[in-house]
Amino acid sequence: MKMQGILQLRSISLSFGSEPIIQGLNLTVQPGEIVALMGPSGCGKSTFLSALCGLIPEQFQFSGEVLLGQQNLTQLPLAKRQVGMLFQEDLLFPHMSVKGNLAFALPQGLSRHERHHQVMALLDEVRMTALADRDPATLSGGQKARISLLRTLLAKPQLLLLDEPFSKLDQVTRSQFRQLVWSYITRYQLPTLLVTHDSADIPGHCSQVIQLPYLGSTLC
Amino acid sequence: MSLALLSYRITQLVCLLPVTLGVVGTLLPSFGYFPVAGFHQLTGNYYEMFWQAPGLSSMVMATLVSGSLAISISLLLTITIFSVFYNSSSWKIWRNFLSPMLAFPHAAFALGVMFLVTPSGWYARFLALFFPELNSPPAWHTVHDVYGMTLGIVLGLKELPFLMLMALSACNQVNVSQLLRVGQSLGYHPIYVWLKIIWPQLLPQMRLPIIAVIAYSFSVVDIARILGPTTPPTLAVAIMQWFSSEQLEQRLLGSAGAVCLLVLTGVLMVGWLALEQWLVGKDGRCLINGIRSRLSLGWQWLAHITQWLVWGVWVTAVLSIVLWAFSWRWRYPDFIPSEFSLKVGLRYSDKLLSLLETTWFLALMTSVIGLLLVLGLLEAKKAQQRYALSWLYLPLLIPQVSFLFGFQWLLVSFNLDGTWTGIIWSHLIYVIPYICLALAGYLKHFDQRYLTVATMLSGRPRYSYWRIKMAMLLWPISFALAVGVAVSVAQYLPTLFAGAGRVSTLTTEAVSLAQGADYRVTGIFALAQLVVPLITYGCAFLMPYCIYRRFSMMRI
Amino acid sequence: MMYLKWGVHYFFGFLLVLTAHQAIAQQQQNTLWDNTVKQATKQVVYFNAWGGSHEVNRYIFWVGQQVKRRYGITLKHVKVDDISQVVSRLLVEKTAGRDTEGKIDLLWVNGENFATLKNNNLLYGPFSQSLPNYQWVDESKPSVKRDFSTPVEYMEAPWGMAHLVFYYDSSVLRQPPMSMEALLDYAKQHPGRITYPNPPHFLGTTFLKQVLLELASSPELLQKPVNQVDFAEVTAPLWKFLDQLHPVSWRQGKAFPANSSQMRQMLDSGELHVSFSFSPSEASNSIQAGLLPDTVKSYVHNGGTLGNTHFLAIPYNAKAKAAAQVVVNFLLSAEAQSQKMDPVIWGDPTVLAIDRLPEGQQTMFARFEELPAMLTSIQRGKPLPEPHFSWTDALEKAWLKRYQQ
Repeated sequence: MKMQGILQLRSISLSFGSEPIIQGLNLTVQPGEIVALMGPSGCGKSTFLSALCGLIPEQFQFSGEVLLGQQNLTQLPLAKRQVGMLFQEDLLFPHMSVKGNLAFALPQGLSRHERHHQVMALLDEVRMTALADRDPATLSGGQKARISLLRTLLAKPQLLLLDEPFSKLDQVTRSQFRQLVWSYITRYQLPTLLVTHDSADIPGHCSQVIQLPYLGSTLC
Repeated sequence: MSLALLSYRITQLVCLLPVTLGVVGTLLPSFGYFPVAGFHQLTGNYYEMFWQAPGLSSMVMATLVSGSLAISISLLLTITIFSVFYNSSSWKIWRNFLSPMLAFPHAAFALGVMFLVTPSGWYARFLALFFPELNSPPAWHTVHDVYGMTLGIVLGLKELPFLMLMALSACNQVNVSQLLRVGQSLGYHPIYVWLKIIWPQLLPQMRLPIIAVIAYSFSVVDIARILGPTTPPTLAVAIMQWFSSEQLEQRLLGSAGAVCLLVLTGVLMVGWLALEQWLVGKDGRCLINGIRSRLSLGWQWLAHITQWLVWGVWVTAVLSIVLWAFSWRWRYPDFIPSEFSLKVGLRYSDKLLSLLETTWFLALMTSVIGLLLVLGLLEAKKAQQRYALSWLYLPLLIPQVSFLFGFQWLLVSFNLDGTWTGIIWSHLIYVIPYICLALAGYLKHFDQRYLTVATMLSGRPRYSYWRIKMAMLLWPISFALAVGVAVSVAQYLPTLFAGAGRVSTLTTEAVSLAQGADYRVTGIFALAQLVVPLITYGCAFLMPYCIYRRFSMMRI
Repeated sequence: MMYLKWGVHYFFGFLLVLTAHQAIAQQQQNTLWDNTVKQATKQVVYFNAWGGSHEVNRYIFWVGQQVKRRYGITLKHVKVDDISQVVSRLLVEKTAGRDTEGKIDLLWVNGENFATLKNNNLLYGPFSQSLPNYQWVDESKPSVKRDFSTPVEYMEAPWGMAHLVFYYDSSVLRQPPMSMEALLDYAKQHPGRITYPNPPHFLGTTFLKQVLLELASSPELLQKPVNQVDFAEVTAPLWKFLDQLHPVSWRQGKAFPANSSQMRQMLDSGELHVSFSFSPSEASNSIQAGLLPDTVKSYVHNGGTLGNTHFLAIPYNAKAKAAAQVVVNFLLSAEAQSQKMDPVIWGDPTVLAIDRLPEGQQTMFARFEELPAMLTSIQRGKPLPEPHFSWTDALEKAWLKRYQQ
């Protein structure tokens, strides 16, 4: 398996109008390492993740550099950043079957047969082949979350951003799904940023926890 | 320049250029400056001529009466229906039929009503079943009446679905069910909750549609030609007659009239804004007088009766169109045709087919172009702010006769009159705002994160846009396309002005046939005219349904 | 004898030369015409003509098929509500300097519209006398040479004849009123059952002229331009008549039907008792089309009724002038004219002198069945000539001023 790059954030600042959210954040995330960002809802956690994808909403100001391995992401468009992201909602495309959703994440230029084969192999690995032709709306919450995760990983991202992906799940599925996510992060050695407001979401092996708003202490 | 900004600019050009230059091109001739026809002398004579035009007072009277009737009927009915029937059993019927009612072409509806209310119409025939003295048609002044009352009522009924749809979307901005609960807990009857709490919030949201209805009602030409007074006609029709006179001076007179009509509608719009302020202003006295349920039963009764009357008119109008279209001989006072036949339809089949082809081609071209522009423009950053797109609705606020004459000169100078480009352009002016109205809400509420995810997954932004965003919005998009088709099909004056008489559509043909008084032929053309938008609506409904029937989230 | 012999020689020689000359002229004209026909192939003719009648539209469609087959010309019927719109468009094109590539190649016109076109030099021509089929036109009909008193001067080609004809339902009305006075009496006895189309619709204006012709003390004054007579004095009997008629007419004269087909529809439903048309075949056409009961009959007033000729003209900036002329020539052929006169097809009287036509072509006009609702040209009598064209506008303006308030 190809070794993933290190994520480096250099003097990142984010503010809403004149109100600073993050000032001068410097951060290094190793492959397979998880860094958590915590803070009350509405403090700008999700906006920070979007900003790392290059999507800065109006009235927000963002500055600083984002480096991933050898690559400087700061000026790259979203499509070229090779970022994977999971949200609170599964965001499965409602007009495609489970198979279609997964196939969408496959690279261009595969034949129909190859697509089918790869998707089915993946589903087989997690013992979910029976769901292949299902309408995503008919899946259970846990199933949806897992398909969403698989879809993200299938696109072979270099960096994983998690925007409270567990908050909509019930207790039991939540802890199961957490374990699955952590295992995949370790397996694919993805540098990961996790945003949450629930300290229970933060895994034991998480190396750093950053509180938002972050106004320039010397964490690094 | 991004594609989105490009479509924003193109749309601005397409919609605003005709209106602004059109108004200027009407204003200048009204002051005697009309170089293409050899008039160079600036003068106020044409306003004087207009002032002294025979029958001007009757024209203004008919315009005011019919226009005021139209706006009052449509607005009062909307208010009543919402206040009395919201979430009741008939509410579902209303909601389901609003879109088809809106798509019903104006001219076809007017023709249908004409079949009902003329002295030899269906209603008189019905009464003749019981009253033998009606064996020859009564001397009713039911169509072409001097004050344009029938015209006003028909306009009001036709604008009703538009205002209701606009009110529905305004309801999304106001938490209706919560307000109803709160109001009822204070002891107010639901009708009074609507009247005193909800409507005062809805009316300011509906300012734009209401003044659009005002602009339309006071300047309508096609329906006025079918049902309005004739000696003299309404102002807008008189202006059209002057514009098409063989004496060039009359055209300058027409421009003067068109400018005056523009001023008149402007004054009436300001009047509405003042009235609205007075009605729902902060300390509107009747809002806080404490009356909670007085006469609510009477209100309900009245509402039920009007509801049945409105439905009755719509249903009988459609039925009479169908009956006339398939009859051969239907002499007064027979209640139903004595002879049915397809002969008349077959006789016109060639013409019908070619008109259907033209109409459909125009409508589809216009709607597709309009849709692409609107999709692009709604993506533009500039369009995101509140009121950023207000300019788009400007054409709806200006009487057609007040700028189309000037627009015609624009087309002539580009040599575009009578060409497809010219006509499509003239239709786009109206199709774009309606498509935008139909689509903007859905695009605004679309969860942009789907597109973000898709772009991250595929690494292909354009592909993701079409495969995910557009595909997920297929239903609203095909619905907007159908709205575009319906709007294009209904265009009368733009086709007339831009088509230079060379291109006729089902609508222009149906209106000119209404003068011909062969009701069978008129019926056939009205039927054909109404078939086009209905089929399009059917497709807009069925296509996404067939494509996505497996996926429950995609159901309508 | 010698002189005589020489004389005879000379005479024959002269004759020979003369006929040769004529033959050459004829031949020249033939080749000229052949050239026109050659030019005309593949041209598209935009024929702007009133499109409000199914019979007329169907006839023009038939003409389109014929000229396509015979000459390769595509005829497009641009249906207009009122030809005056076309006239104004031409006026504007002229002032705008669009002197070529005009969008109108042929138009159906007469009366004041023709006068406007001719006086503003908007017409191509003179052309009609050089059409091969013009030789059969009946120039003894005064309205063929003078269109509403405007000399035609070959700037337009006659196409058909119009004649004001009244009709009524014989199951409702026994004895139709055969004059304007009788009509007024009838209206007084049956209020609300008589009316006329709204001027400036041409049929309404025609009704005003007919009243004036019947009641004016010296109708010949109407042949002069309006500004040369005392308009108020000449028209006084007309206004007196209308002032009496309106209170007892349909809707007390406060509203008027828009056109003749609306009047026909109201006659059918029993709202009106008398209707009229400028087309002698309207009643019988309508019976066949299921629009009137077969008890309807036609009549004309005792003193005769107005008649005129309608024409075809080519605008000065027409794009397809050659093809337009070929179409006009075809429309003047015995075949096209007899087809048009057939009451089953249109019923528009011919402009040709039938008795001068070659034998074989005369029979084309003799085959029509007699229709009960249609009067023969003998029954209709000699048409009264149209007043000078300036009367049209003057009457319309005066009428609007008086009654449109």
